[in-house]
Order: sequence, then structure tokens, then C-alpha cells
Amino acid sequence: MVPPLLDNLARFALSISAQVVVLAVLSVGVAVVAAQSEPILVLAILASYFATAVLVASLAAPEMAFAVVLIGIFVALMMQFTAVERRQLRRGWAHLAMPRPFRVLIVLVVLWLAWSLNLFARPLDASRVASVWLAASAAAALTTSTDPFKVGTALLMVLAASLLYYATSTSEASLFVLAVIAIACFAVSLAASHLALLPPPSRPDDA
Amino acid sequence: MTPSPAIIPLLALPALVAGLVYFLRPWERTPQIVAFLAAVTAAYLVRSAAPGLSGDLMGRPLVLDGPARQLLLIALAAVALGNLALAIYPIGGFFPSVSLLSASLVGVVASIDNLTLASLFLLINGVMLALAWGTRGRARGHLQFLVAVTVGCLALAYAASLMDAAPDEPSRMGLIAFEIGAGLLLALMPFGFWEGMLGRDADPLTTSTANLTFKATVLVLVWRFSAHYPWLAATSAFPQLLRVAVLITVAYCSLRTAVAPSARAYAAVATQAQFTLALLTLIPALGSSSLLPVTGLWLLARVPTSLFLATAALALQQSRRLLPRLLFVFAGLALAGLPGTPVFPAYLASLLSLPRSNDLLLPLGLLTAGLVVGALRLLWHGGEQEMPDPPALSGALTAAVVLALIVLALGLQPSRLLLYLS
Repeated sequence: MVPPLLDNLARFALSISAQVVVLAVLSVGVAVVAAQSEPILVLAILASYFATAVLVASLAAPEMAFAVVLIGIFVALMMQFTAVERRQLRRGWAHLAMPRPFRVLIVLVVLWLAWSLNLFARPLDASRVASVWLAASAAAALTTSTDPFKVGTALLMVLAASLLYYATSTSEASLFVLAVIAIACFAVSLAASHLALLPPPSRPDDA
Repeated sequence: MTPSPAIIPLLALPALVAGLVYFLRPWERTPQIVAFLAAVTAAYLVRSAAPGLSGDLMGRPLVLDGPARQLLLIALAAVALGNLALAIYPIGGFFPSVSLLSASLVGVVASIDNLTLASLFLLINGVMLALAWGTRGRARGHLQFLVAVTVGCLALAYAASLMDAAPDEPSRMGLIAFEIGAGLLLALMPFGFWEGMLGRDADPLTTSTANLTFKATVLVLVWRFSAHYPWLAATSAFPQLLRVAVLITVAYCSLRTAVAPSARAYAAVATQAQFTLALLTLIPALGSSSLLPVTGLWLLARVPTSLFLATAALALQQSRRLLPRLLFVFAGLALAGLPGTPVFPAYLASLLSLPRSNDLLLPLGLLTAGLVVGALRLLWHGGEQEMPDPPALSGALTAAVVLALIVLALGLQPSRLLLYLS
């Protein structure tokens, strides 16, 4: 028997349309490539895990969706604590960031690539769009940033895409696989936090 | 008769001690000594365990077969010797705890039947390692390692899930994901720049775990893939690609070794090239039911040799007196396979037993040339010097001397290495 909390969560998730989830995932992808602000990146992590949970709830067991929500909340909290600590220690990487127009250009190129691969063809497969778009935008963010906080955010989004894949697309869909990926998420956020709190290099070629 | 331990307690033992070691950090050298003793005890228990020890982890079968047992013993040897060196030359950080935890995870990766789960456990292992290494003001190598490990392990897990759908039929996407994942994790060119960068940004003694245990685990995992999916070795071009990648990587790393700006960078790229050579012993075993005996010997023989080179490089960077210079040259020659050192019997056995032994001669020649030219350059022209620190210098020198003695002892009696793995 499904507990009432999970039942209500599943109903809530099923009430959200696939188009809304796809729009949320697209916004998250754009944010992780274009944004430098730490609060926006933390929100992007949270949104990507919530979107993943909604898709998991509609395609797999509600218990798995609940586990994904919990993973997202804890990982986002760890990154938020790191962001606060960084602000207190004045560990700014903004002077090493790529110019904003270049980052926007990268977003446009990734969007064009996704369009040319028929990712947005109708009927829209929301879970395919979400996993491919999250992985592609994270890859774009990884190639354009040397800030450990942003790299950690991108890696966490890759892990969100793999959570979605393993919860819905393979015979490996089990809470054990999800638990191992959850530990990997915590380990990645811990390592990224550790590296993000180191002093940034003074010159771009040292980064 | 000694009772055989169960597999789960055996694999969990190093991780449990890692928790204890974490709280011993206020006492200098104590965590390293406890980690050393724990690794030796765990190795003794693994050696006394019955062959083919099995069990299950949350319903998934675990089997400590021959290759898994050898890999675990190699990892425990690396943890024990690494912590012994750090007990003499203490560098602050989480290395003792993380190295023990890593040994447990290596055991799980090597013994779990499911390759998707093995790749995911490998991801946890790799990411935890990044926490154990100190930095010298720059963490670009750490970040590159983190990205390589996450993307590489997820690519291997994705490949395993695709190949599991039809194990006997070739999967194009699965093959591409597998090759990218293996290339990133084994630090093969053009994916392997992270290792040289890591050597630049952290000390070579602690980062040697990436080379000695993590990449050895990937090697066994790649072989397991080929055993699970026979088409990978039989019909795909993977073995040929691996051979070409080995040659390119060794050539690139040998060139980098020859022009290395510091002893630290020299140690990083030299051990990367030497590990890459070990992949040539993997190629004949791809698709078969067991690894070649020479692979285990090779991976074990490089443990004391690589750690010796790392400590000798640290000692040379801090002082340019005669003893550090001699130790550095001896370490470089030991890695090149000087007779009387542990790597020599591994090279000799490979040359005598490999079906295409000529394939080994060219990369071995390149490696030796790079090692010799780089060592001579660093000795005559000097390299980056670090601030002199007499207590630390004596620690690095003592650690290098202890490891040199171990290298000599094992090199003069190589049967001990085989006995340890048997």
C-alpha cells in the first residue's frame, strides 16, 4: 500500500504537464551555462532534481520520485552552505569567467544542436528531452568554466540525468541503483564544495 | 585450520577502520600508522580467505574470484606502503581515511557481478579520492580528475546498461560510451591530460593512489566488460584502438617526461606512461575468462617503484645534495626496469610470454629514453625548487631511503611478489 504522503506527491507530480517540465528543464540548462551567480546555480540544481522527480513519478514508482526529491534537497543544501561560506571567505571566481555574450552563444549553439537532432519533435518525449538536454547543457557548462562551484553544479546535473535514465529507461530500475547514484551525488557535491572553498588563482592561465 | 572470513566483513573492514582513523587526525602520524596496520591486517585476511569467496550485497552477487582477489591485494599493498611513507613524511589531510575507504570500494567494484553497479561504485571511489589530495594553490588537476571520473564512470555504467539488453549482439552506442569511459579513466590520449595536471597541482605521493589503485581497478573492469560481452574483443576494433592509444600515450608521456619542468611533474607523467604499458598485457586477455598472470605481477611490482619515485622527487625538489640526486636517478631507472628492481621481472615475463612481444619493445624503449633524458635534464639543469624545510626534507629523504630498500629487497627476491598474489 502506498503511504498517503507518497500518494499525494504522486498526484501532485501527475498534475504537472510534460510541457511545464520541459520548459523548466530548458530554463535550468540555459541557467547553468549562462549564469555565474551562486544562488541561481543552486536553484538550477534544485529545479533539475524536482523536474527529474516529476518525470520519475509519472513513469516509475512514487518511492523513487520521493528519493530523487530528497537527494535534490540535500545536494542543493550542501551547495548552498558552500556558497554562503564562499561569500564569507570572499572566494570570487567572477574575474576568471568567460564573457557573458560568449556563454549565451554557447547556449544558442547547444539549442541548435538539440533542435537538429529532433529532440523537440512531436509527440514530445519529456523524459528523453530532459535527460539529453540536462546532459548537453552540463557538458557545455563544463567546457566553458573553471570555477569548481559551477563545475560541481554541472556534474550534479549530469547525475540528475543519469538518475532519470536509470529510474525509467533500463532493467536496472531499483532503489539500490538509485541509492548508489545518490551516494555518488553526495560525494560529488562534497568534492566540489571542498575545491570551491580553495582560494582562486589570481591569473586566468593558472585556473 | 584458520576459519575463512565472510566476504562482506572482509570488504567492510578497511572502511570501518577508515572511520576510526578520521578521528585520530589530531595526533600526528597516528592515522597513517593505524591505516598501515589495518591494510596489512586486511591483506593477511584476504590471503587467508578461501578462493572464490562469495556472498551478496543487497541481493546482488559478490564473488572474490582470482582477479578480484589479486586487485584487492594490490590495492591493500598500495594503501599500506603509501601510509608507511606518509608516516615517515607526514602530509596533512584525509589520505589515511580515504585510502582505506578506497580499498573497500575497490573490493566491491572488483567482486560485484553487475557492471553498471561496479561502474557506479567506481565513481564513488574516484570522487572520494579527490578529497584526499592536498593542493599547491591550484586545483585545476583535481577538477579535471573529478570531471574525468564522473563522466568516465557514468559512460561505463551507460555502456553496461546498453550492452546488457543484448549481451551477444554488438551495440554501437554502447561501444562508443565504453571507449570514451575507458579512455577517460585509464588516462589514455586524447583523454588523459588530467593526470599530468594533477601531478603539477598536488604532491605525487598522495596522488599516486589514482595511478596505483584507481586505474588498476579500471583495467580489471575493462577486462570484465570484455568477458561479459565477447563481441567487444572478437568483432569490434577495441583491441586495435587500445594498442594504438597505448603507443600514442606512451610516446606523449615520454616526451613530457624528457622535458618535465620539475621532479614532481616528471614523477606524474613517468608513472602514467609506465601504467599505460601495463595495458599491453591486458590485450591478449580481452574476451577470455581470466587475466594473464603477468598483469597482476606488473601491477603489484609498480606499487613500491612508483611510490619510491614519488618520494625521491619530493626529496630532490627540496634539496640538490648528492643523496637525493642518487635516489632520484635510482628511482627513475627502477621504473624503467633496471635488473634487481621489482619491475624488471614483470618486463621480462611480458617479453617472454606475450604473443606480440615486439609491440612492447618500442614503447618500452620510448619510456626508457624519456626517463633517462628527463632525469639527466633535471639533475644538470635543475628544476623548480621548493622552499627548503629541514624537518620535511629529512622526512622525505628517510621515506625515499626506506622505499629504496623495499624496492631492492623485492627486486632481488621477485618470488615474494608472486607468493603475495598466489
